[in-house]
Amino acid sequence: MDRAYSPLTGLAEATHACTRADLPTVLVLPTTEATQSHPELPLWTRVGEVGRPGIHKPTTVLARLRNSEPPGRVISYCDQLCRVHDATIRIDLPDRRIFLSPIETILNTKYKFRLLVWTASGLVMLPPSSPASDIARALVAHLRDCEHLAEAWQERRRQVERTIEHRIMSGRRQVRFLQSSFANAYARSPLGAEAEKLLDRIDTLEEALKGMMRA
Amino acid sequence: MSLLARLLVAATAPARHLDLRSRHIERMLGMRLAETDIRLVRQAGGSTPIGAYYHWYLQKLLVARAIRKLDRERALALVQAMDHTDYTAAQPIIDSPTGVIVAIPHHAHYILSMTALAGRLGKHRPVNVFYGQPATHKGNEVFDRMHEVLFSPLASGVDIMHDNRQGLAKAIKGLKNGEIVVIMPDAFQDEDATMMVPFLGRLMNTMLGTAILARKTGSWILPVVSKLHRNRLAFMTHFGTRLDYPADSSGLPARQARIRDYAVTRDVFQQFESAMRNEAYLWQHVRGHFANSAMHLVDKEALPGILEAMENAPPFRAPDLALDLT
Repeated sequence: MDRAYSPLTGLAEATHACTRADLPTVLVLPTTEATQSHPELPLWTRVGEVGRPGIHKPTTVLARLRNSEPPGRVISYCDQLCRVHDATIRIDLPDRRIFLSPIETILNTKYKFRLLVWTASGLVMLPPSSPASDIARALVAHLRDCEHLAEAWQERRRQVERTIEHRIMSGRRQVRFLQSSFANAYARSPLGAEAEKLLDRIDTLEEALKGMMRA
Repeated sequence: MSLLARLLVAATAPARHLDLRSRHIERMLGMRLAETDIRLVRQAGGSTPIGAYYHWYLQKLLVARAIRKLDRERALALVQAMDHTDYTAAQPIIDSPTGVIVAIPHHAHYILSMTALAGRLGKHRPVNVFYGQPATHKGNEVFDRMHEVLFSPLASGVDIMHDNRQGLAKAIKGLKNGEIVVIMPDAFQDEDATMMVPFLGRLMNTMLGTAILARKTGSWILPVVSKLHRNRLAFMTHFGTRLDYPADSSGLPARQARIRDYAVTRDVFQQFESAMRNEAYLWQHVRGHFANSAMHLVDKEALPGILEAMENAPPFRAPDLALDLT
């Protein structure tokens, strides 16, 4: 990959841009060893998956904004936010269906953050209140270009979690868990009206998954 | 079995108590174990010394090598020589006026237990060994080959059937005619078609096929488990307690039939667990099973709350936003 467009170059350019014009900024960067240990990182509030050192979860940053303690510079490791509870915006692409995190869109549209998204061909800049579809396109391009980082991209293997196929598979497991729990609980007792209702609701979940598969 | 093989197993038996990993031994036995595998084996059945696993693997290897070289007569003689089973408990199978399903897990020398049991029962009543077809279950060619070598003459009374539509129809017909079906419920083809039963401190995915066969044919189930005999090159088949499908089950709505199928399947696995609890490292699926987290099913009281939480969470809840970028 061209060195000029490495994630660290993106970080340096974004830091410089923030120094020149003090606009609230979200920088979307891939998770690599270099983007986790750069000396300029303390200037930024970092958002990603919960439980990682130095990383805040999206809701923590939003809470700070609501309490009027706005972080001016935010790095979003959107590649870490791929689990069902973190990636809740569904994106229909020509060849697949995936889910993206909403934090970048919320910060851009509600809190008027400028968005700088790292891609292999440079930083994509989206002004505050950009259309959600433009933000989604930029994030899709970002994730696509993260692939070029090969093994340096630490979140590579986890990206399957944002696919519809993975979610349906996980949903099926949950439904089987519920069905098994139900059968285990009622194995020795007759089904009353309440139990039948519970079973109807479990069936509804199963039908919803079938609907997702057909869609 | 050669004297050398028996001496080797006897001489290495004290190593069963050693809990030291040896890559040299693993290489000699042709084992490919990661650190995670070692941890999972140790977890099985409380705290299994890794030496016990090596010793078991050695026995398995020696038996497989010995049997491969033998013709029918000598292979059956070998199985008989290794067999220390008390078959008194098998008499009700022979005497049963209805079909019988013998359920056996992939534990210890299960192939030898199945061979010895099928050979005995086949003298009295037709026996059908039911398993996944080799096309979809890697490794099951061994059953086809063994049947060809050991039981191919029609007089043996032992036949095989694969878990496809044809095999299932044959199993149902046979059981209705009072035949015996040997089945391994701890294997499945499609995870989505399974239910989860509590087993050895984890949840086990299993098909309800054994129970469904019993329900549809009026057969009873006998769980059996192959076990090592005194850690020599020998085995014994442990017979569990007869399980009858609840009597008033004909004409049940599909939902209730499924719950009964589940209850019977759970009972089968409870019996397996009692026999395997202290030697789960002899089970073919030990590593995969203990790699699962120690989850438990939720009870009747907690079920509505858990269901509601799932209904309001992804993937069942609608996404926050849906964008069409096609």
